[in-house]
Amino acid sequence: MMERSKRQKQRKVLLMGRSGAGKSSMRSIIFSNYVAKDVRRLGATVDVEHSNIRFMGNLMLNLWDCGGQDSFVESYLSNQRSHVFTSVAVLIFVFDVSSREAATDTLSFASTIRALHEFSPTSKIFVLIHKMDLVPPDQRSRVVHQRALELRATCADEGFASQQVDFWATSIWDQSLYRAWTQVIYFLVPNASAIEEMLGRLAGLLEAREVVLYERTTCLVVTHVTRGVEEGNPYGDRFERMSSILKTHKHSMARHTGTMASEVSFAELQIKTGEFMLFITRLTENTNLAVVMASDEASFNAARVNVQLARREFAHLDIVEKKGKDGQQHAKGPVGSAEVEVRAMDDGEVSSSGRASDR
Amino acid sequence: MLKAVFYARFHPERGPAIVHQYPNGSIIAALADQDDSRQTLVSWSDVSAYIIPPYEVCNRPFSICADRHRVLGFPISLEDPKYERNRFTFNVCFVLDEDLDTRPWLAVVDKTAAFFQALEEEDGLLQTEEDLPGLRWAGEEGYPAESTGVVYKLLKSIVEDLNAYEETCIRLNSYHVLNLRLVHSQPSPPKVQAWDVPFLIRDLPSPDHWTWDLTLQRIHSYLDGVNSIQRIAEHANVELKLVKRAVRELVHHDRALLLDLFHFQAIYTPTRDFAWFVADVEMQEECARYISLAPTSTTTTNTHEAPSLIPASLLISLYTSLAPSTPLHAFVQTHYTALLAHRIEIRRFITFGTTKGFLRRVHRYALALDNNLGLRSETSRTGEDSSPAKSKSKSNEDAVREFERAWKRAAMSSGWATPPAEPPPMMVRAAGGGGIVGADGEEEVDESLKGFLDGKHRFDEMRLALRVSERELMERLGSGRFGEVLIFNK
Repeated sequence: MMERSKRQKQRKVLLMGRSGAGKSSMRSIIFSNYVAKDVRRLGATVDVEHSNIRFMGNLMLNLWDCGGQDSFVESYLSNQRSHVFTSVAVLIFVFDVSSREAATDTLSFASTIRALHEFSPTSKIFVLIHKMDLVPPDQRSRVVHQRALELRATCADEGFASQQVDFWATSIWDQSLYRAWTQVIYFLVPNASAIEEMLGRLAGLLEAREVVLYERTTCLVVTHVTRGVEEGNPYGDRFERMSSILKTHKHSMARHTGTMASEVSFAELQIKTGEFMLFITRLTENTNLAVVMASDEASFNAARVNVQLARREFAHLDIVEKKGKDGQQHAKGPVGSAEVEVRAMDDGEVSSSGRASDR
Repeated sequence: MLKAVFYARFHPERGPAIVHQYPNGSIIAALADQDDSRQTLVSWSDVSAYIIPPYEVCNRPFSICADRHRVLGFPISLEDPKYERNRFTFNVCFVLDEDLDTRPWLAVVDKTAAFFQALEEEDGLLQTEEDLPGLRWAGEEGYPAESTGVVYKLLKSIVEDLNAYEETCIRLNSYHVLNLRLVHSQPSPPKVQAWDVPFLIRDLPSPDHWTWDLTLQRIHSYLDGVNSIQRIAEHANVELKLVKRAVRELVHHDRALLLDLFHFQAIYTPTRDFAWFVADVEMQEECARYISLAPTSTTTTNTHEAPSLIPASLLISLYTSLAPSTPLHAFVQTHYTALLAHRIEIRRFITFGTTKGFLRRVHRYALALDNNLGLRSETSRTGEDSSPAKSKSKSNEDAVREFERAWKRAAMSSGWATPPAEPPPMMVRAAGGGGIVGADGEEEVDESLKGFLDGKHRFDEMRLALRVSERELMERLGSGRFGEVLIFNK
């Protein structure tokens, strides 16, 4: 999967499930800046809706949102079988937890993954047990656990190893949606570990408590590095909460400036308290970086400057056109030379395609 | 012929599905025949994606050809939160043979779609129909449940009526009525010229039954098959344009034919359709009856003597002796005795031939050989020519048109440019003129005649425009004032 070439990597993602399970709603919230209450207005998907989503600059997601009506599913499993199920990287199967026909749903799932195994046996399956907000909180974990057990057995029957299948409980009304999709994206991003390694070193040099890299348009967290004190943070789901908060922030900015949610952006966001200091700024053309520092003004400002200087080194992770530069190699210790010096800002912000505006 | 009609809908759980079809088994095989290899007209799985297409493409006509059939449809997608999944998408489709002309059907499809849309938007009839307990879907056991719902009956009436009568009027209740008609459009009739002679082939409906427009009321009495359009316009005192329009309407509705101007210098000749006349005995008898003058009381002494029919052989020999070399007056003189003996009316004789198509008129044209060269070079026209002089070299009709255009242009220009001082001299000539004007008139006539000498205007046209006889026309042309003039027949 990790190719050495610099060209764009295409990943085919199938989004399937019964009609009315919530596939198109999820897609519009994550990728099209819908708010949860807007999705009530969506119509049923007719056949397959294709979207091509550019992620992190060098990842192209071919998302197939497949209509769940009986006649469509029949068609996918019969005359369109090879067309649909070939070269699939990820299958996201959505179950409506409130469905009255659980057995039929399971059967439908079984037929789908059977076809998947025929044409893309090495693909990954994410099962999303959706509409969890309709289940009383005390029953939630039991319901999910039960369902997961059943479906794991089905997957095993159809020839999928247990590490190929992941289960997540989701709802559009809270951050669980972002959690599941973050995992999907993390799986798909081709150079995730390279990024993590660089971030790790950056965090060390900045002496930051936590460094979070997230994609600008979808606000999905790509990866994060946590150091020292922060590792004791009890809020394990803080990353998806961040996604959720940032998404909401986008919408309120859009309302206040009278523009579209997809067009708003900020240059820098700072939160300073007695306990910590946080800033969020642009890292690459498609990503933002959130840095959590201790409550110390000097190191805070130094960190800000250093992140700016570090941008150039991270830019190449995003670049598509530069030929001949290997994605695996990167200069050692790019930030080391500039670490403590508070240099004047240079406006050499290298962006891959020369666009200065944020997306 | 309409092969089938079906009503399909996007069901929130089943997806695109056919609810009703007529006749049964045309798209979805009837339950009893599902094991049968009997073919449905079109394979549903092939076309379903186009019958219920994505929403962006809905609400406009849509057709697809498959299995040598053409399916004409108009998918309608109604957006409303009251529906499950916020939309109600359906399509009423017509299945025809692939090579049938679709033009009359497009209007039918549009209107049906609008009707069904109204049914759903106003009364929600389509949605409620599906909730009826007794309803059967196409392909299910017990289809069609004719007593349940309205759609099946609608589809059935549409197919049967359109095939039988090419029109239908279906009344659902006091305010839902579907009127359909297949209209086969005809090509528009050719332009009518001032020298054409309208000839009524069917009586016009009486003024009690059919309101005649003003033009028709004025010109009606002159439509005798003898008067040219120009003469009708003059006698009835109606503008030429209006007369032309009225006659064109009559021709379009097959109530009149256009003949040529009848006069004895005309030349006629048989066409190849004459063979048809020779073979058809009935037509010969019809001809004989039509062209013979009714016997007057003075000539018939014996009342028992039935008027004898003109023998076919005589008719044939008479017609065939018409040739491009023979002007009508020569023909009449040659066959005078025969024509008189059988009391043949010469005008009817000719008219019968031209209307039936086995006789045609040979027209005469004139081409001035050196005058054309003069007309072609623009430099010869100097600016001192005043506009009336320019308009003289054109034909009467062109001049009229020019004049009107000049008036319009002047009226529309913001400064109100001075319109032409007087209408072109041609128009001034009143109906009672007839004869040739005095000495200065000669000049004018010659001038206008020049405009006709390009080989494109027939003698009839010239004669009418200039109000001269054929003989005089020949004289003028031969006088040498126009240089060498070539006269030819076509």
